[in-house]
Amino acid sequence: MRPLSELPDYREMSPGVRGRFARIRQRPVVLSVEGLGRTFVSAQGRAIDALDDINFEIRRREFICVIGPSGCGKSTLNRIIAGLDFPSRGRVLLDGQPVRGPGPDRGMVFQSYTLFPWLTVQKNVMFGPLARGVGPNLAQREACQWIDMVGLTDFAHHYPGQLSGGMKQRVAIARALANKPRILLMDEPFGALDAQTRATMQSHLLKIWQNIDATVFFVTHDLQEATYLADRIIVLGRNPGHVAEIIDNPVPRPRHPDQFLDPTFLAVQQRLETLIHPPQKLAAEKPFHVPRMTLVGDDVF
Amino acid sequence: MAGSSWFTVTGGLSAKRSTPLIVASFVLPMAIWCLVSYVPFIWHPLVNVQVSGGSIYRIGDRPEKADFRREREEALAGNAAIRQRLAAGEPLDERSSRVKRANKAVVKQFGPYAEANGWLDARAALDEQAIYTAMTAYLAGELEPTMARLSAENVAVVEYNAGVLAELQADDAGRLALPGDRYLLSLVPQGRPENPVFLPPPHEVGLAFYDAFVTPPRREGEPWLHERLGESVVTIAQGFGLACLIGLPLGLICGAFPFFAKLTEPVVNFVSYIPPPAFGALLIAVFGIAGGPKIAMVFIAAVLPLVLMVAKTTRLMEPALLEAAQTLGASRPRLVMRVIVPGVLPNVWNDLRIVLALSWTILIIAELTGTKSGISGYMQQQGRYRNFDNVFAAMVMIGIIGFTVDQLLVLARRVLFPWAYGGPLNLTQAISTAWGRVTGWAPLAADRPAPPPPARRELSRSPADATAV
Repeated sequence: MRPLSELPDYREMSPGVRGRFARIRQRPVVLSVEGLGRTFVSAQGRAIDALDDINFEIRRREFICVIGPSGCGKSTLNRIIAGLDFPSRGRVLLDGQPVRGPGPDRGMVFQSYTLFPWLTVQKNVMFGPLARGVGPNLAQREACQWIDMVGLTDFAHHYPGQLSGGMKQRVAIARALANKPRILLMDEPFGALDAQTRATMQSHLLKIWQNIDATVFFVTHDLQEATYLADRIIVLGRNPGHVAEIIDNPVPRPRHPDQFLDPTFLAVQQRLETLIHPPQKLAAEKPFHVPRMTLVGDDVF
Repeated sequence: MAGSSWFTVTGGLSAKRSTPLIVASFVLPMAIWCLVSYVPFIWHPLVNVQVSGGSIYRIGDRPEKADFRREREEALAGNAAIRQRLAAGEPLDERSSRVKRANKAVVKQFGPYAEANGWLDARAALDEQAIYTAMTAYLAGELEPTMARLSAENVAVVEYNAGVLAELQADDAGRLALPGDRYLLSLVPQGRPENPVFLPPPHEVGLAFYDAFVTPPRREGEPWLHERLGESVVTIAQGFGLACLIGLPLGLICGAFPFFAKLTEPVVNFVSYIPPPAFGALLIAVFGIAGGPKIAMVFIAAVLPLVLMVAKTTRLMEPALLEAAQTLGASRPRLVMRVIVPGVLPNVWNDLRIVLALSWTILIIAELTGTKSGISGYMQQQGRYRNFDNVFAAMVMIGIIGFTVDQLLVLARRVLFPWAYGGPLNLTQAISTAWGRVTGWAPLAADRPAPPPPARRELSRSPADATAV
């Protein structure tokens, strides 16, 4: 990575990007998180704060990435928004209404493959519409559209067991979108995929997002992924989980993997790196000692 | 598969290797059974007496080998002494009437052998004249034995005796005249080595198996074997069916809702520790002595573990699937009926197979409560008659029924849950695969062209559940 001094400030943005953020701020708020906290009780009976005083707002059709060191509570935050977990303090408002339990207005894509293995791809995508009470014929037509959108029309009648990991996650996205959710929650959805597939899936997700009316809340631990996908990046800190910074991503859209080496891109990544792995903390880490276990001289390298 | 070992620890064996092993798993015990049954020197600790002679045994007795040998040696020693005395020309200094009485007993030794061969009836077999006639006819080759032939030493004995008797004239009453001046030779006991009655040879079991279906039962009014088998199957079907009807939904509800699990499972767990046969007396009091207590006992034996197993299987379901369904807007009933039930059914199906096997175990005891019925009633009766070939045949039948039903359930699993077992079942393909397994290890197979590589099927990952043979 280039020395910090050569990179532009990550807060500097082109007029185009600045205009885009101005337009986004005009849009209505879809989701707002107010003073959210979550306390777990450990097996020893100690109270552990996983999240504390989290505040942010997400506007319509925004792409939000949440990033943070492991154990900062980013998955817990996602689950609380989904309604699968409950806050100890504060509240989550969706379109001004407090969230009470899981619902089809907040579609979720998990890191583990959660397709129903006993249903074909098509039936999996139909699950949400049928649960909402849509008639089977209409549900099937809708499902076909969404399967087409993720490019799996040829596999509509395959079982999940017959698909690769990337295909499964594409079906999972189609399944979540088939409910036309207000917000699409994604919990490290590409974490289990190989690098090649992950890159394809990222581009694919951006393309889908651009063509539908969906707000995306994307949890990841991959700095490049966050920079590549997000409008805004919510960086969480640890002990307890708190919002360290919300970065307005200055990388212009449309995004392309070529931008990975742009100074702007690198500046954002550099900033994320600093936030997640603070330099003073890295320096404080004790160096580990490796004893020499070979008789081969260093000249062989 | 080059380089892989027969004794590989993981990864399984190719069909070419596993098929002969599967065949051998059945053939090896059969071969051992045949060896023990048909090769006399391996075990055969008993002797089936064919010729009793002057011994303490009767024809058909099964003395131990050592005891039989002692009797035989005694007879041989007696004959040797008589022959020695004759050769030396020593006269007998015993009373003639005493010698005649002894000789009469010796002549009668041939009686049981003649009777067993059907040459004489029971009355004639006690008459010396008739026995003598049979002796001469046998020596002349006019009578064919249905039992073991006399050994060379016994033929010599009979020849000598007949020769001596031929020199004497019958008295006026037509009774056989017996020598008073010398002893006749005794028949030497003869027999063939045999296994104990509880280990019949395979062919007898096979015959019993066949006979059971074609010959009517010995006592009138007794059910045929297939009727008894039918009784057993109906008992199982009713007891196990009832258990499924109640145990499956209860287990699913307990697995899905902790409320019902806590309300039900502790007591079910407690009762399941009471062996079902312990309910026997109670069940007879409640249901009488006919079919009722048997069905009830199978039911009790099946329903308790079924509830516990199904509940546990249900709880093992991937929680992420339930969460995914909830975020898709599934209501609670939909969650149970459309996610939990289809999700756990393949594993519940395997639970059912285990519980069905358990039902058969309990059935054998259940059928002996109250009036003895079904296949176990038959086995007990035949065991009392010491017809162990029939007992074996019945056991094999239970095995065949159980094994066949289980294999059918395995097959049905692939039809019912194609998604869990690598795509839908293609019957023609399954048959050709099976045929390939049978013919695959013939040397010709190497010359055949390799089959085209499977297309998309490679993507499918079937669970490593290889209970199917």
